[in-house]
Amino acid sequence: MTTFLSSKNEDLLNYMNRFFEETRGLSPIETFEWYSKSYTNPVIVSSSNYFITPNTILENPATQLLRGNTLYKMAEVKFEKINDFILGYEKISLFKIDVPIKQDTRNISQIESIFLTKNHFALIMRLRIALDCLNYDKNLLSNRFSGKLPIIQYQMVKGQFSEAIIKLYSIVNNYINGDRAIEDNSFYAFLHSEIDECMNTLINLTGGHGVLLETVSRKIYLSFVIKNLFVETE
Amino acid sequence: MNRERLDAFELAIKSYSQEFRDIGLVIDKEPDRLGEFTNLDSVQLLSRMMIPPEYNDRPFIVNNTKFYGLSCIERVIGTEWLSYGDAGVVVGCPGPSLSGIIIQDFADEEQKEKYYSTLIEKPSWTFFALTEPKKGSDAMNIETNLKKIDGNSGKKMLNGEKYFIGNGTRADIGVVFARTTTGPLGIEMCLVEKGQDGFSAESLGTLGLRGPKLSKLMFQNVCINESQIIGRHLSPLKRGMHGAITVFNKMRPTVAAMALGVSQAVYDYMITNKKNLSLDQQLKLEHFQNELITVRNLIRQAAIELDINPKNGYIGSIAKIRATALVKKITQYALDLFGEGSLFDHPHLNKWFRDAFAFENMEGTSNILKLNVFQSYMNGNISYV
Repeated sequence: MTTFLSSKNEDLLNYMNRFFEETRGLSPIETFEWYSKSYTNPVIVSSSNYFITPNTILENPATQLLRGNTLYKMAEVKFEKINDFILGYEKISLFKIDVPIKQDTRNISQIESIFLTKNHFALIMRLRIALDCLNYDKNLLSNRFSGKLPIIQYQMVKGQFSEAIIKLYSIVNNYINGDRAIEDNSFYAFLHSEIDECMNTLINLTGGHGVLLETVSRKIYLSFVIKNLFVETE
Repeated sequence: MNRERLDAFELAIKSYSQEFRDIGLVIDKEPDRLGEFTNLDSVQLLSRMMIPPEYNDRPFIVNNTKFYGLSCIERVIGTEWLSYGDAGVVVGCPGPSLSGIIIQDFADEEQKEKYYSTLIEKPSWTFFALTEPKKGSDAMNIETNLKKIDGNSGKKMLNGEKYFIGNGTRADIGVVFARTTTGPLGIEMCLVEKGQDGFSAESLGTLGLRGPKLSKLMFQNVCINESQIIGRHLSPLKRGMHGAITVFNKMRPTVAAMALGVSQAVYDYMITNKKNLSLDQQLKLEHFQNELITVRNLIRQAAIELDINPKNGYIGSIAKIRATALVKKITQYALDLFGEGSLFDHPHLNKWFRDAFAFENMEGTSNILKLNVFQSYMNGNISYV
């Protein structure tokens, strides 16, 4: 897509386009791995006090933890596991960092720092989850019938489904083609509130199926966990 | 029932909410442990609600008035405050619940005797099996079938699957909807007991409201006698499909009351635990307080109207649409208000956040209820507008 709205760095634009292409159809755990492995050494992004990650990344001795603008060797970070059975379904674990942690590791390089921020991380992870849920809803509602019509063909459902598409497209457009930086706190919180609305619509559309752990509900939970840990809202 | 008696009932039932709050997180984590708490006064109270005086010698007594939970207004008040304690425990408790309405309104004396004596003997769970994996709660299109066995025995065979059924794996008795022929008059309700050959149940894991252990019920050539057909003494017009509509109309405000109870709990939690609120935050909380009042007024008016005319379902629909929207909004706001890690530093907020998604699907989704509101308006049935 061409645009003159954005003055974003070309590397960042390429990266974001690559993200949407390459993570299409990936599970949350695979998306974490994709994100982590995009860099010289695997990276886990943390908030002030928490991080979430698949165990596969944590077990890699080369993995580093990004907290603020600093990368830490995982061996230097003390943390404890917080048990959360729903995240467990996604094979993702939650950890609380014991502070203070040693700050003697290298600063992140300029080229990596464009993407290696918790803001980018939280936004693209939540977007990927929302897009997955949209796809799940499409398949579920296309294969369930009320009378002779698939549920997705009913006007109210189509309208609500489109609301989710409209929100998602707007967020991605803001993110990729827009010029307002996601480092702007109020804009960033706004983008996440749009994702919240989208997620609420998508879970509603699935009816009772949406609350089953085997369906979208645990992905929606993960999405809100990411927001709760990484997005300053108030 | 007058206002003073209801106020006394409300005050009395509020005092039971803490017991539910105390066990809510335990039940959320391990729903099977609910059986350990059936001796609690609050659980005993709820398990006997909706059992009529002829079978219930231990009603809830407040200022010499006996409350049996047989009216919608009693149920919404009771459910709101017990859900304020914990909604998962409310829905997971033993007692009549949805199937109780069917029995109260449509069963004959023999069926009532069987049903209520099971519940009085010991705290027992019940189920209400209408929803199906492919058809949801669309009663007109259910596929579970009830077919006559050859001969004149009057016996029938029940075959099919039910989905999202609360307490299905632990229930002793319940009501199953099935189709005998095509069309709305071909829907029947039958009383099925645990242990009948061909009947099995398995749990489904859910995100929230885990107390009732939603389940899948399977019926494979389950033999149903004539005495198990609920409403056999009534004309087909006044049972079956009519039963499903009646239950949903009568229970919708109760589901809304659950969502309201959770919303009120979240609101009070924010007020109690969040200090130094900014002006914006104070205004937001004031807005939520007004929404709580609005939803409570809708729910209670819906209940009062339904006690007069059970066909008058639109206010219940309006109440439930608003209550389910509110509970999601307020739980998600609370997470934002308490900030980073609040999902894990405040276990009740975590639970309320997950529970909030469940109400949307009980007794009709908001989309279906909006159609009901629209149709009521088009038919000229909505007061004031």
